[in-house]
Amino acid sequence: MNAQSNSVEILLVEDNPRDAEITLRALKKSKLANHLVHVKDGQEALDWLFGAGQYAGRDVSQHPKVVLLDLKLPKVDGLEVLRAVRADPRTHRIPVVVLTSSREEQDVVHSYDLGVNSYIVKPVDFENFSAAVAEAGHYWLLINQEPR
Amino acid sequence: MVERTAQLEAANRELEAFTYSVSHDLRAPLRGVDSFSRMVMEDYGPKLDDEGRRMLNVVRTESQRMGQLIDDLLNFSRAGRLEVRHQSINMTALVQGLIDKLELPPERLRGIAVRPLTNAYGDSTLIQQVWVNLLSNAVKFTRHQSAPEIEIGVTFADGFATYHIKDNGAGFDARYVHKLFGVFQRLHTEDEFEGTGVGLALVQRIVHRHGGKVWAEGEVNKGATFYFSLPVAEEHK
Repeated sequence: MNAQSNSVEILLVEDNPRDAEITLRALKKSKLANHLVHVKDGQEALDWLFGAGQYAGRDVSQHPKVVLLDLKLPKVDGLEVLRAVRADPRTHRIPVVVLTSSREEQDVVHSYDLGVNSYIVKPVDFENFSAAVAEAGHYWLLINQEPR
Repeated sequence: MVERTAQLEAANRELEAFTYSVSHDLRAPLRGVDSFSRMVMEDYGPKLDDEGRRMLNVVRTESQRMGQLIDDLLNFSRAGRLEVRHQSINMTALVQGLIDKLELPPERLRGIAVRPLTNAYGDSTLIQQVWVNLLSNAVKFTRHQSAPEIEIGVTFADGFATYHIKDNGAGFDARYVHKLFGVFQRLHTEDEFEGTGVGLALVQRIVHRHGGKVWAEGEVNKGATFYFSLPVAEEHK
């Protein structure tokens, strides 16, 4: 294994343990979960992305291929995380996909205003949810070309 | 007056927050119920007997039904909050387009007659929702007819255009007509005809917001006619 394949490909920001488990299961089925880090609130996401707190010393130049970001999170919410990621030159190009229960127009618009790459409403139905996660994972990990 | 407006604004904000929270917070546990019952089925299905699998499927069907209820309720709430944007609407094209989208078999399409409809003045998204609900109801409740018929038309009186959609389907008991447009009110059992009981409430809310009225006539097993009126815009008179 080279260093590249060991790096984190997906940063999953999700506070709901059930949703996290379903998301992981869908990604695992598609063999997309080998290099995934799961953080449980917005503050932990920021710490990971910027190498602070418990992640002090992490090589911040190692970007995930995609951040799957829930919006409603404890401490720091998803929109604030998105804003911080876009505002910092070290992280501003990282693809961020919002994965949320909210189909409220204000959330969609706000996310796009802040420069989200994609916005996915989590379907209530298990099959649809799994399919949506697997498709998004496949697209961002295997199809999308990121800047070097 | 100023105080009353402030109170109304506060109530509106509270409703916003409530809707928002419903869309966020009720979906997540529901997805948990649906997904984990499905996961049990995937991982342990072979170890269960038919009755066990049937019961698990009931859990799933019910959770999906609740998901539909939440979606319908959110649509209903949204229709009350959204700003009504008036524009001219080509009703004939709108209705014809919606019928095409239903992708009905030819023998069912033959029974649908759309009379020439004059253009209306209203919010095209909301008025489309009205037709979607009325059309899908008509199709649903004529499902068991050997020769289903649906007729759509318009009449004019006193500055209002009254659109109607008439079918020869299951109809309803006129004694309960007052319940027809209430939220979560249903005049048929889930076994007879599926539904959440929000569709007609949504129709009424949208039409009221346009300054119109809705009403219906029906008789059990002899069909139903739904009417909605919209004010004719000055320039169309």
